[in-house]
Amino acid sequence: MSGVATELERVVGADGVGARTIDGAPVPEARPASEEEARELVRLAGANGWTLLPLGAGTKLGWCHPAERVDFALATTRLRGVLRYEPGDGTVSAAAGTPVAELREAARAGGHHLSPEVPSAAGATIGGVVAAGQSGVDRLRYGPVRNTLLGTRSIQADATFLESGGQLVKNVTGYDVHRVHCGGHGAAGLLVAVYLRLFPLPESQVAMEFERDDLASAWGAATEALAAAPEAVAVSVRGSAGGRWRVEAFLAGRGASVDAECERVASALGSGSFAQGDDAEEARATLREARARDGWPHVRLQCVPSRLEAALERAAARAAELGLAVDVVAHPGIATADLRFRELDDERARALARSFGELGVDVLWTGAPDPLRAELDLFGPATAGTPLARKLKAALDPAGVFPRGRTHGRI
Amino acid sequence: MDPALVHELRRVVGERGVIAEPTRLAPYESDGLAMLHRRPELVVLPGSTDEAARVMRLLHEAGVPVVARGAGTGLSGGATPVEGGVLVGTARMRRVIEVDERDRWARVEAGLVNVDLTRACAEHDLFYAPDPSSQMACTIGGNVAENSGGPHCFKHGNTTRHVLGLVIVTHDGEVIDLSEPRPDPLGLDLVGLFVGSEGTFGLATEVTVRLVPTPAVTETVLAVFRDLDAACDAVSEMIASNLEPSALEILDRLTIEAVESSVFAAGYPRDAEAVLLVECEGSEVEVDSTSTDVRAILERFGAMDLRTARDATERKKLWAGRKGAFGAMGRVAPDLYVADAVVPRTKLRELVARTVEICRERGLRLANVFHAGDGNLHPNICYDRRDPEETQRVLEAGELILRTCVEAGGSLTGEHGVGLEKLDAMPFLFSEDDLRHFATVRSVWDPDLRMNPGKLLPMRACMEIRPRPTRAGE
Repeated sequence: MSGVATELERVVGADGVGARTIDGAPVPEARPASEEEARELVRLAGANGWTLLPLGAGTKLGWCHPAERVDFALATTRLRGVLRYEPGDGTVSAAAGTPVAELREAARAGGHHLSPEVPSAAGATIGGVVAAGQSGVDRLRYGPVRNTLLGTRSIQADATFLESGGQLVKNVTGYDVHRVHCGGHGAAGLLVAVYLRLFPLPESQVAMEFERDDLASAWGAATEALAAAPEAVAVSVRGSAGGRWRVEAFLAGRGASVDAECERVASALGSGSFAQGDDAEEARATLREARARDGWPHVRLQCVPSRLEAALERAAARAAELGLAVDVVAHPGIATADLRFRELDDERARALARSFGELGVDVLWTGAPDPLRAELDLFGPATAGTPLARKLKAALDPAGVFPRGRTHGRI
Repeated sequence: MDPALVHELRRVVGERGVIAEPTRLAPYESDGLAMLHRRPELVVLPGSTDEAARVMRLLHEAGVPVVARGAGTGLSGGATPVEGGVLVGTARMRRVIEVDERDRWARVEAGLVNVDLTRACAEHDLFYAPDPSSQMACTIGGNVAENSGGPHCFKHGNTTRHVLGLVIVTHDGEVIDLSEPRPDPLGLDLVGLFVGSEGTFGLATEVTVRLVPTPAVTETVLAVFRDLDAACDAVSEMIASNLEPSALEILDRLTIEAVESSVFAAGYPRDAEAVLLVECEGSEVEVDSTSTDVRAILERFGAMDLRTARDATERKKLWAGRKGAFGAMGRVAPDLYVADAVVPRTKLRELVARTVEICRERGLRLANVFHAGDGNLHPNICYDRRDPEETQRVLEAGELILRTCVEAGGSLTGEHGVGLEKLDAMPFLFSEDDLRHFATVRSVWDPDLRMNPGKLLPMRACMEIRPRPTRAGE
């Protein structure tokens, strides 16, 4: 057993230490059972000049560049459970390692919807979702995850805790450091608890589905659906070149309001299929899980809504030129389009990356093959803020207790 | 102030952009927290991002502290001048640069008045949602600095949910352009971190904001109650019932009396112990449906009367009363201490009652106006700052109210910011480690700690000398 693993065992016990492959290499993985154990692990890393990689269930490891160095992984999966939930307050705080599915059910039992509504089949944790800045299929209605996040508790590089924000729907006290943790992929600290705003469970839910022959007509239909149902939870376009395209509209809210929107969408888009109640929820869950970006190479295009269709058409055309089969899941209203490649070799991935760089939109890669994760610009080019972001990382973590090089700007 | 520096500043912003005469500096002595005031050494008003950058560079080279100021409507001393410092104001940067109707965003200069932004977008059936009570005067840049709220933040959220990008001028005059609107930030969310930093990180000169479609229908109901507790309970019940009005605002009897005696008179009944303004917006069906359930709750909790605003004129009048409440309090007392605290919504009634008790114990007149839907209290304590003993009682009451709210699971500020006012209260909520980490973040943006020094973080965290402005009576 390595020296690292031995030291980890002293903190979390033999049952709390395993192994995981990170960036192609095996490393010990520690699973602390308490925040104090987690803090001790961070202290250990700092004392020994080690770098620890924070993770939840590890579903998003492929979203980042390989780290410059990882001595052990710290998985939060044993930091699990609802810490405080007051249904009358509409907020919840949860340990970072709580599976999203579990938290979703706990909120539902109290009459609330948990946003972000993200894929959870692989055991994704709420801390991992926040660290990845992952918004959900319900984003059109409830906004991005950074807006539903009210605060965090983290362990910083010096093994002390940091509370940012709070368990309140309105609060402007102190600096919003939790906004740096959200989407920071663990570069700035280890999340141990997250505080989220909840939303009322809707009285009524409807799922509507329409078919179109091609992307352009599907996009037009989706645009009409958005206009007809301004309170829609989600409007999506799914399909692949040469096949039929699916336009889905998910409506939820007060019964009379949903009925009215449903009627307007049907009037605008014509005949399609319709589901309500549990069936509608199941249909939305299917879309939710279909948006999982693990296991396959994905490219996400994101920009302002008016530019996405053209960018997506050009991207799809380029993929076709390269002989690549690609499945598309797009949300015109929030302007994201995920292209999933059923098979992608390195050479064509590089060709795609070169072309996509000229689309004039943000291009984000997830699930790229390991060698390419180092080479490709997974998060898009540096911005005017990148130098300051580097300074922030350096100030919060001067010794590199948390990984360097994994995120945007190779921070 | 070094005459050579003043000369150089004049070369950048022109004669109009520098205010140095003592009589003309007087209006800049404080923001809305008038009990704390100090005459600035100089006021500089750049007219553009470029001018602001050159100004900041000069001030950096001279080692001069900088306090940013929008309209000076803040209520926590965030724009109170500091010793030896220069006020950099955005009053000359008021342009709407661009409105994108299709993608629903606008790019504006930081000195644009909040309500003017909504006016500029109205022709596109869009509006800017955060609506502080001071929106007729406060600026978008000031809103960014404080992460301002307002009555409609119950539905739409604080300023941070509506800022898509910023142009920031740093302490040393560097311009960081993060203004491009995108669904998510690339990399660390510096814009999200900057919002609410109260002028301690840098100067925002341009803001890219998210716009929201103007609702098809808006209905405002004024519910009249015999007691304040019942009004609070009605709000708690609406939230527990998962209703989603766009605003829930309560005014108590003293506030009603002040409003109805003022130019903001809205027709609130003077014999009511409390009124609750409930607004619902959306499609006609949505509004009808929500409003039906809202009314049922209001009646169940003892509303004596329900009045509905029938048109935009009536609605505007009802809201003018609410938004003019602070100004109207000038009829009741020479000064008003506008407290700002936030509590879990399930504790609303309990904490409102406790604030009433705290003020009664100290012989202070209290007027309650608050964003009931968010749990954001504004206990407004009447006093005369020429009376040092009364002023001291007010400060004691304010501190006790804060402690009580924090002990109940609340926080120090829902929308006014920490500024100078709540500097000493930060340890009520945050540990020394928390404050030290905040100081680390601050030092990245402002290594010399010249940006609004002595604000937001207590002295020990920043290891700085906190310049202490003058309190009335000293």
